[in-house]
Amino acid sequence: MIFLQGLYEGIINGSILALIAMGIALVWGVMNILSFSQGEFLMLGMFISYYANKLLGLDPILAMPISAGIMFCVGILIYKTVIARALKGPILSQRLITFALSMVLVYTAQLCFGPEYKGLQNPVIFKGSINLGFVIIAKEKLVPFVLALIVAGLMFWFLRYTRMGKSIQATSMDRYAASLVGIDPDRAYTIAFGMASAVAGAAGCALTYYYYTFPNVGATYQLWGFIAVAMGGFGSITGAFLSGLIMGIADTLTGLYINTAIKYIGICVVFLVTISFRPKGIFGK
Amino acid sequence: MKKLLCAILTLAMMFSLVACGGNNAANTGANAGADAGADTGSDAAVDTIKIGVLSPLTGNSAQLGNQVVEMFQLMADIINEEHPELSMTMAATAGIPSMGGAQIELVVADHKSDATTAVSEAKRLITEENVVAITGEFTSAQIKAVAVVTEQYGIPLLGSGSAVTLTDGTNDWEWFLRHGVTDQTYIKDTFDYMAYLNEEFDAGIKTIALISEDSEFGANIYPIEEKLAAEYGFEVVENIKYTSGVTNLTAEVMKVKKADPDALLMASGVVSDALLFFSTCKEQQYTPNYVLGQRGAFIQSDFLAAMGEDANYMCTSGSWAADIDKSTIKEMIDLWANSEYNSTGIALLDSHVKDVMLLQYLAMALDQAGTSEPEALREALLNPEYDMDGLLIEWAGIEFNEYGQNTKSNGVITQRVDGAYKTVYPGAGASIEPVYPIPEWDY
Repeated sequence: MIFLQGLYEGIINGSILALIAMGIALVWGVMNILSFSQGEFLMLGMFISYYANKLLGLDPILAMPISAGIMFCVGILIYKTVIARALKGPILSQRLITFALSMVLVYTAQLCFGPEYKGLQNPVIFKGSINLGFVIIAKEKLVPFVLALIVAGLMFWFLRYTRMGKSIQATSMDRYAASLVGIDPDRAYTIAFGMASAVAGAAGCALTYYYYTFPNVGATYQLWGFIAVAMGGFGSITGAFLSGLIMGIADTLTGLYINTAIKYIGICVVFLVTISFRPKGIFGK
Repeated sequence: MKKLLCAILTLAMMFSLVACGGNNAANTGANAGADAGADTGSDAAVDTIKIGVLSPLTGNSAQLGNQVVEMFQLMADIINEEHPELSMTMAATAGIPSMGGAQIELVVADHKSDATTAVSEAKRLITEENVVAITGEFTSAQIKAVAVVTEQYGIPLLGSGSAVTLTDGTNDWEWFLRHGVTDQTYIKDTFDYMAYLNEEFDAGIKTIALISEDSEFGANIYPIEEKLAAEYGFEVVENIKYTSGVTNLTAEVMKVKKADPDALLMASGVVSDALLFFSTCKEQQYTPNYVLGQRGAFIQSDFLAAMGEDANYMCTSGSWAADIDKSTIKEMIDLWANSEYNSTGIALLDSHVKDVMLLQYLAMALDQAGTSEPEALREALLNPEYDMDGLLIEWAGIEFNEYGQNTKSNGVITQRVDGAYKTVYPGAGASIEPVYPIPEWDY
């Protein structure tokens, strides 16, 4: 029973990492930029969820489309004003611009919302646990898992079957060739960055069910998001999703059966082994 | 349009710069009050005495750090203005009497809960701001970093970090003094309390689980707990170390739940870790039989606020409790509740008082020394001639050993009941009977 519980919890814990990683993978895959601010977009999503709950009494699941919409617009704004210009500069500036942006967002959040830990104040729909005998299912932790599945599915569908998705894929393969066939690369980048921000915004809402909101919360998840992206293969949405889940399982089972003090070593060993056999990641090309 | 968007974003960035410099704004606020007082001071040569206050104003412990600074501002006002109605030491007169009523000026700096930043800020406070002493809110690890600087410049450093290694002779420090108790004492109090629960209240505590973060804080605590568990005859059924700042504590909770100890001893300094641990307990439909915290998150207001009613019946070691029968404590509670500095409206906790008392003590020493010259100040700090009844904490006295440790300090165990910590041990000072075990939570 404890193994099943551990396995289940690992998948659930990994789903938030998967959500972060999918956003990073999208930005990297399309624009070749490592988005250090993805964790902070998650943080902003959490604050939107927190205040929607506090001020409007909204459940985080109802705040999710609002947060995703707001973060999509924020993403576009940031792309147009900061990222698009950095793309014209040296490669190092392109890489570091989102790092600087993350610092700006953390301190702005601290000034606007305060540094304290905030938990949801009004009743939520998904609360409590269901004891099935062989496994206990926490309702609030099901939300990020289901969301991760939906986001992965939607992204897959969008990139493969829609005109805009195909434009984004074409731009990611060869920006100049894409523009020769009438695709506007700038538009594709804008949509991709907005989508990545929206995913983080929705993930932030899901996270508020069981995690506390504070300005530095993004950093906690960001590093593991990067590892998931590297393990899954830079730019691969499917790889990022699966790696997030694998990392969650490795984390929980290492803690449970070896030692909690070294559970992150479990994740890193899985990562090292993967990279040893597949240097470009599971789905890397 | 793009230019307009650029302008908006630039404004946002400037806004965040203001946030980064927010501590400095707080700093000038504190100084402004002091400076205003200084203008009316009688001795122009020593009209202000600068005290460096290092505190985490941003980062993971920002909530506590900002509250501590607000309390320092209140205490500076108490010292700088005349309050004959108060029984607190240094309150009756305005400023430092032996120095012509010189005013205390706080110079606040943000160490961001980071030892490297703490070092650079300590250097800045000493070399650029000319502070005569440094105090504030520090962990033991940060004290170790800052002490290197204060030793180099010969400036007193007062902090309430509790690691035994700060004052056991491991470090050859001249300028660091610790008034409060060490982890050894806090943890011994915890074990004495469990023995007391068994003897007086038939609690039947036989098994314990230890859970500690992997920082210096946790690493100092669990070896003492292991040693004392063997001495007191408690069986340690789990000894869990976890990485601070985690994304989940699922495996940790599952292990504790499986072992189901009679008491859980927790050393967690980071609020989000402690919150995550107990929320995971609830998800797993597990109520620990008893929780004994080693201060850290347990004496931080955002942990208690976020836990709500589930914090009830948790215990923590500490130096101070609001229900201790002492006039200075009652005065401070009242002053703080009505203070303009109390921006969050929170009640006083051990975490605030153990720090702010250090400013009161520094003012006392300055008055005794009659100068802010470092050697004389250190001498006065080491050999106080003041009556200790006027301090904010009820200790047997202040008497330092050769390593700068006050040997007369003592701790208490408190249990949270009806939303407030109440003293349950030592029995003579207890205001309530202990509740054991914790009533089952609603899942």
